[in-house]
Amino acid sequence: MNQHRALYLLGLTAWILTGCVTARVEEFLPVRPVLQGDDAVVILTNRQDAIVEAEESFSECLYKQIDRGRALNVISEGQFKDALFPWFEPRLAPTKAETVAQMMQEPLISRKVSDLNIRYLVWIHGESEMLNKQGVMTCTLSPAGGGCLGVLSWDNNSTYEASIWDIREGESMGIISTEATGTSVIPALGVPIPMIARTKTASCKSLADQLRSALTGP
Amino acid sequence: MLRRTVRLAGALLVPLMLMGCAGQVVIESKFPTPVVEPLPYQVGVYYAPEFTGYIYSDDESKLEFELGSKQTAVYDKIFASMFQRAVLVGSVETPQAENQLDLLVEPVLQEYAFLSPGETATNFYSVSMKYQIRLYGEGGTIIGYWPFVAYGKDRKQFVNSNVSLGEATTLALRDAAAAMVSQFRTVVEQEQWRAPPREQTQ
Repeated sequence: MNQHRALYLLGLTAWILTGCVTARVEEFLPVRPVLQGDDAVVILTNRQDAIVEAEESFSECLYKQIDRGRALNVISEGQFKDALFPWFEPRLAPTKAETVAQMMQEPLISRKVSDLNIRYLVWIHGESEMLNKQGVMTCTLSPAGGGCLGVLSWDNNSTYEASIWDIREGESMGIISTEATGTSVIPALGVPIPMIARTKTASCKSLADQLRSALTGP
Repeated sequence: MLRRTVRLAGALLVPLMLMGCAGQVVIESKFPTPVVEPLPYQVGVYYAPEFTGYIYSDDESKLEFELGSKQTAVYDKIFASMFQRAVLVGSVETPQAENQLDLLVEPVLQEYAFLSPGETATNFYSVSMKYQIRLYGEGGTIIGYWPFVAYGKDRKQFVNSNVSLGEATTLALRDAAAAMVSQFRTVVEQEQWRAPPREQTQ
């Protein structure tokens, strides 16, 4: 009985500490990607935009989620970029799928790609933002103790898109996009209780699920 | 009980906040070998002591970190993969014909600069490294040079901003390799380097 009560309290605490998140995924794939045999996929962060760039934590999350269960042969961004150094550094990375076809005409580059069995490049673009910050919180800290008083709130918004390119054919397969929104609140009456809307995690999971199903087929 | 928890949290939080200001700038020292077809040239590579021992220091930000060995590591990889043969020479006056060299090059870092997120109103640290690749003829005469700027940027980190600066610098060094492999190659093949200013040739 006590065990059930503890589990109930743990679940309730976890629910309270997580703000509500609404996630939406859209898919536009005129050409369905089809992975065969040992075909591999690379998840790459688009770093050519001066202002918007997906966070490293998002790319890592996406890689882990897609690689989970080893259903797909996923190559990490670091391994891929080192193997093809420096052709996928921001200065030289292709901005269009057609440019990849030109790049593949270089025998050394196409040999490296074929050694790694890479079939699809998935370019990630987007970011998470904190908007409409409101409220006031005052904290004091002294050797005698401390605490906080007040409430803070803000909106979390995560927008990401994944463009899938066929590296062998040099063509774009389409885009999968995701948007997650939520409101985070930290009320404090002595101890602050953060209720964070984890929109980045929600975006990562929904995008990873959609990508996995798009790449492995029905 | 609550007071004890708050005290403990405070004791953990204060060192963490101080740590945010005092982290080290860590720059990668290992770089992959560039994937490039070597040019059929035998080159001599000269690194000046101020290049290999370059230390960035700034009194205002109280930042000081070693950059010389990192940039030497990346240029070693670049020259070794770009040319059929690349040998280190101890001086720009090294006799080229006697050592079967077609060319003698020297990378020079003219300026290392960075902008913090506050200065660019973005979430990124941006690093720029202004380089000049000098080409020498027999007797150490400059026959030309090729200038370029390498860039790197990395998202600011909450706990330790110096981690972002180190990563942005690493990315700038990787960008230097991208510029060299894609552009300097053409410069050498087509002899498109710039003529030196008059005083440098003498």
